[in-house]
Amino acid sequence: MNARQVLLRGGAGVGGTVLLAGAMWLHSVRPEIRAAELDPIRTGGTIGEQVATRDFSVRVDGVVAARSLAPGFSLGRKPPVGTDGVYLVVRLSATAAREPLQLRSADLETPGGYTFHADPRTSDVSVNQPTFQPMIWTSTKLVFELPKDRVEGARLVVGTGGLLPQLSSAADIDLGLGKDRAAELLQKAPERYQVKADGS
Amino acid sequence: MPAALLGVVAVLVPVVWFAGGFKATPKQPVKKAGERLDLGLFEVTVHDARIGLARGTFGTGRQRFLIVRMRVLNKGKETESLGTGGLTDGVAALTKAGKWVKPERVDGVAAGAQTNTTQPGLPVEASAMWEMGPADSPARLTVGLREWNYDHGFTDSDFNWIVDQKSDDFAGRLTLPVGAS
Repeated sequence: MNARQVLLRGGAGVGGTVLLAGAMWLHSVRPEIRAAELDPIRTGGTIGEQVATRDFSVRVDGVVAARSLAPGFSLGRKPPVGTDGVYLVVRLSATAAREPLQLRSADLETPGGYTFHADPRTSDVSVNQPTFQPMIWTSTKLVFELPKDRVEGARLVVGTGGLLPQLSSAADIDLGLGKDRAAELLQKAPERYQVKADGS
Repeated sequence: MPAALLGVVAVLVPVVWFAGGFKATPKQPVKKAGERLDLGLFEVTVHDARIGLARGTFGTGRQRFLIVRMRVLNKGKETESLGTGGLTDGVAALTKAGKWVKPERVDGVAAGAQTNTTQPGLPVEASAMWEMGPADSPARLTVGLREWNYDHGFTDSDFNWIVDQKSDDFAGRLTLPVGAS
């Protein structure tokens, strides 16, 4: 057996081993699917429009950007709650369809697959979310904190959430934040925005 | 047959050499304060360790804590907690008995105001805190930071950022002098 044959056989052995190892690795690989079978069922809509899902109806009344938030009870002049990015405050009204409920999950989804949960800061500037009753429209605010370059194209996703949100309802609302609108919002963003101004 | 075996060895040796050999990669690479550490989900820069007084976890007066301050940047795509289920799970301090314990709580400050979460792309100054007795005053503290992996669980197919809280493998191990303040 000459050297060439020896190398060939050795190579075949190693190659076979690599193929086997590759097969075992491939066996453990699963594709990443972001959506699960029992995710909440989303109803689409845009800002200003009434979006009706099976459990609730919701309407986004407006979006405001803010550089900082005024703390709720300013005893002794607490400093405003700042951010390195920007606060996006979504004003919305909602009503339940059949029974009282709360909108437990509220996220801002932005292009690129980013998800920002509502209520980013501690109690000072957090809004107590109301319970929505059937046939009564109640308004509330949702606060998000995100980098400035993620504002463009953001969508609001609210749902009843809970521990097991299987096949529950969610509304997926386009906030109409095109390039110009996002830039305008950021430019006009005020300091010391009063989140709790209307007593919520 | 011996020739074939020789061939396998002749091919394997360069392959193994190329892949880095059999020398074990360090399980706990030693890092220094101020060094930027990539933990997968978070990018962490540890500043220092000190003993400080802080509000007790259940609001019971002020207590002594061992505090490790660090800058945390969320590199993921979703809001992450600083507490359980988030940053806390990947931080551990070495006790005298050789056990790794995770912090009692992690407080965060972003842009000068308190927060319990980190948003993707927005840095947070976090303080990992371990409660101490009134007489304890260690001179040095060893902190380990674990790596997070984006993977699915053993039984489910949902992808998530996972950290092995029981493992002794760390992305970085820092020994810090403990300052008093």
